[in-house]
Amino acid sequence: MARDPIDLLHGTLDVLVLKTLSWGPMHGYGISRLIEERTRGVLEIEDAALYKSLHRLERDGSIEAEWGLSENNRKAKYYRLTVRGRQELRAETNTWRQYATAIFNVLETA
Amino acid sequence: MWDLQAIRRLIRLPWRSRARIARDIDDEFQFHLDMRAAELVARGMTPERATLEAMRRFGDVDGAREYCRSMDERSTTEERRRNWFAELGSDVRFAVRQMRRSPVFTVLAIVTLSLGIGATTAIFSVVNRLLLDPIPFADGDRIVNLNRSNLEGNLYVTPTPTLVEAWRKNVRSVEGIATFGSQDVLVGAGDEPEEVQAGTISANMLPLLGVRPIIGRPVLAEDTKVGAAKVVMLGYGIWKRRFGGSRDVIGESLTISGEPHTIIGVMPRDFNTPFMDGGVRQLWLPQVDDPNADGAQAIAKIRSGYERSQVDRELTGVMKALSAEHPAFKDWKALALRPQDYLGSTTQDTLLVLLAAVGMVLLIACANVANLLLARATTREREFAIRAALGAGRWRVIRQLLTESGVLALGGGALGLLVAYKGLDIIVALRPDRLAELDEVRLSPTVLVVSLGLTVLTGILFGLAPAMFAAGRDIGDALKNATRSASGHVAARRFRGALVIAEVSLSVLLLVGAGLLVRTMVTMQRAEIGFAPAGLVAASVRLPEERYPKPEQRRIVFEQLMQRFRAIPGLGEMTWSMGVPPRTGMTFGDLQIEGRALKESERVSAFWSQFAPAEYFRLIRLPLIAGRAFGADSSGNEIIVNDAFARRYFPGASAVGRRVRLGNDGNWNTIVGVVGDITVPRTGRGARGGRELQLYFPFTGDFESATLIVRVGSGVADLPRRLSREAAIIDPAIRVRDVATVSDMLVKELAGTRFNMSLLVTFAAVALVLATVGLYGVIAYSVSQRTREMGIRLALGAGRPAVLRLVMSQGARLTIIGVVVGLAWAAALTRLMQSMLYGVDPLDPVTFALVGVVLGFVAVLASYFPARRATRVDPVVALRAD
Repeated sequence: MARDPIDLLHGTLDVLVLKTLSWGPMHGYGISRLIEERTRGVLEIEDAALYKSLHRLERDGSIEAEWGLSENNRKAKYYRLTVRGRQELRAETNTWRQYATAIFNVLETA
Repeated sequence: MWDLQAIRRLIRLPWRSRARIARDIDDEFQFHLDMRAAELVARGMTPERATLEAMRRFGDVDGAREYCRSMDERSTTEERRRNWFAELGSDVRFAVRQMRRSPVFTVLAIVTLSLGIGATTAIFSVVNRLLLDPIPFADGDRIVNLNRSNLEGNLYVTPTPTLVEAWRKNVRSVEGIATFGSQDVLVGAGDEPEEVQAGTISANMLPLLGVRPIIGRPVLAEDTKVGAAKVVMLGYGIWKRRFGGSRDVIGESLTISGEPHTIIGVMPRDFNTPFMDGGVRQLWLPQVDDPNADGAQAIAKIRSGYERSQVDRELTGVMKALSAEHPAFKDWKALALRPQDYLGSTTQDTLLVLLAAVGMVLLIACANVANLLLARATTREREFAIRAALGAGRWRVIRQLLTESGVLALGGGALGLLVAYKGLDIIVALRPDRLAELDEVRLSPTVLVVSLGLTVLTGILFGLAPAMFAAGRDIGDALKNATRSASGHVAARRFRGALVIAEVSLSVLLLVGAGLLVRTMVTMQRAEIGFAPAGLVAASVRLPEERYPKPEQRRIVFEQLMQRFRAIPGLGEMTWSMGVPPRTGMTFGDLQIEGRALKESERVSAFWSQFAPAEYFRLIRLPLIAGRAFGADSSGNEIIVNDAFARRYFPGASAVGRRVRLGNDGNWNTIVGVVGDITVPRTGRGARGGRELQLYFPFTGDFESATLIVRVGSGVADLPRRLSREAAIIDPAIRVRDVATVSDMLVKELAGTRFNMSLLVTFAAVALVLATVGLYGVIAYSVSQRTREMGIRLALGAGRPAVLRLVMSQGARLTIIGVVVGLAWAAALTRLMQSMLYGVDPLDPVTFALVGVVLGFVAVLASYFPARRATRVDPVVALRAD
């Protein structure tokens, strides 16, 4: 790692978690691994923050949890996207896309 | 989508406890740390370092744990609440569906409840207004009426302005003393001025009560000075009626008793000063601050932290200190009185009896609805069994049923408010004159809260027992449904029987109470009153004070009036007097008898009195027992006493010729005659024993007002107008009013008793109807449940009369027990209404027996119809059923 991982902007983590869960139910550890892989280690997420985000999203009703068995046969808490979470994700994705486009438009203007 | 979530919610395990939430979070974190450590070990780290590294990467474990725990706990609580409401919602929807499916039951239950809740709410409003919260102002419970009282304590007199001034200066235990009075005034100019009652108030009255005018300004100190510009505040009613509620009235001029007054403000709706007799006033004038004026009523607000007895002591002390200059204050004490003190124990007893009675009606209503619900619950047994089989817990079924009764109760409560609202109108229409403050009775917030509480309570009261029975049934039994008369029903049937017995006994109690009052009313109407009111009409005649300032002038006017009235064709004998018995005057003064010292126990200082010319006694047929009536030239020092007086003070001797006087400084009056007693029946504690002492003075005609009593033959139409016309010929400002037959006036004397009687009879009637319905319901239901049994009996050759007897004996048993219990209660409780009774014993055997018979008759009716149906059961059909 040549540089320190980028600090996550406030609220960014939630949308990343939602996106990750859109591929299927997953436990906290798995989510953390997936995000690291997808961002190729640019974003390293503090685990404490991840769990805070998960429980916050569960309370909001965007995701729900169930105990299940992990790959290595251990009891793990699996999270899954709810209908509401899926809507939330769509809305957030749009917002991010507009945001990013706007920033790029400024940055790429010579 | 909603359905899926609902199902998920149902399948989800029970709510997580706090401990469980904490454990789950720990497990979750531990899993994460283990996985991370394993990953690091796989990359070649030693297990020890891997564990440490996993911890480091996790970050603030404790902080995360705290955060997650608070999130989870909150979402659990929220979901639990959401779920509770969702269940309540579906319970309510289900309840409403159930109610729609059996409209007869629903209407019956709601109407029954509304009668109970409505009547209770209405009576509670009255009790609240008169007893609990009689002064509806801020800190009303600290407002008292200040009075002087003689040492016997049977006479209250308003304080003089001097005394009020001294109290204001020296009494520390009250925050302020305001004064008020009342006077009749004529509003408007022209031919038809309106006669209204005005109140007068001191400038500090409204601040003391915390009242502001709705528009304009209140009476201020400068308005009360002698000779100040004339101003007036309008009452809400006259403002709406005469001025159309216009806000522009301020500053306008209004002619009051011939003088222009500037309108300065308008009082809030229904405003009245506490302790004002005779209801809401139309106009409010400044109470003129004149030390030489007659006494006005005084009210004070007790400083918080002080007791009423402290106020009494302080007031009395200040008054005694003044007795050097005012000897009259020496033998008096001062009293701070609450409105309840004026009501008298009789009215208080009455209100409590009425409240108890109406509470019984409510209990009967509850018992009735509980009965209906129980009957229905047994027919819905299969439904409950299926629910139970599907996993609904006992508590869940109870909750469902309680929701149903709650919905019924709310329906009953809503309709009950309407009943209460209408009921209050009726109560106000029936109210006796002396309860004028009832005109302001409203369904106040307090009353509404109590009513809501009552509704909830009734819902639980009548809903709980049926719910418990329904939930307690064995599932298997109920599903098989082969156990119609089996053990499970016995408890419910006994309970229903007990309910009916309770209903019947309460109705008996109410009927006995009502019966005693009816007997009281009859006895009072038949009571010997000592004179003959038949054919007599009375009218009150008032001279315009300012035009005839001298007694001589007034005497002449009254003579002229009499001459004119005599000329009206169709009128018989007539006479002047002061009021119509028993509503005449009171005369005060320590009685003294010439040549005899009175014992302490014989001293009296207040007398019922009448001013009457010679012809008065003849006209009202009041017998002369000894001596003579007044002569045409009777002077001020002749007096006539009643029989009771003569017997008390001159036992065994003739009273005629003896001399008496009232007070030390008055003239001696010679007793010239003794007349019969006027005894108008009155209820109340000790009212029967004491015959009142009555004094008659010659009518001298030097008053501003007098009463004309005239014998009227038939066919004198339009008497009020003819009297007014004759009077107007002498002076158009003379007022003739309150023309009514003496009999009607006497009927008014019974208003209080009639009021009690009407209410109690109504309650008893409602109770009787409800109890009858309850009894009918139980018998009819038991017949429908025993159809098969009846069929078998008939098939085996039991005659129809035997079946009839069987069913009816069931009703008879319940009724007899109920009647016996009810009569026992009545025997124990009716003495509480002793003060409402006249000439009838609380244990009056006639009433008791009659009530028993009435209930027996009703019970026979109630069980006859279901019994007849039982005899018509077709054995074949009955045996084939299910």
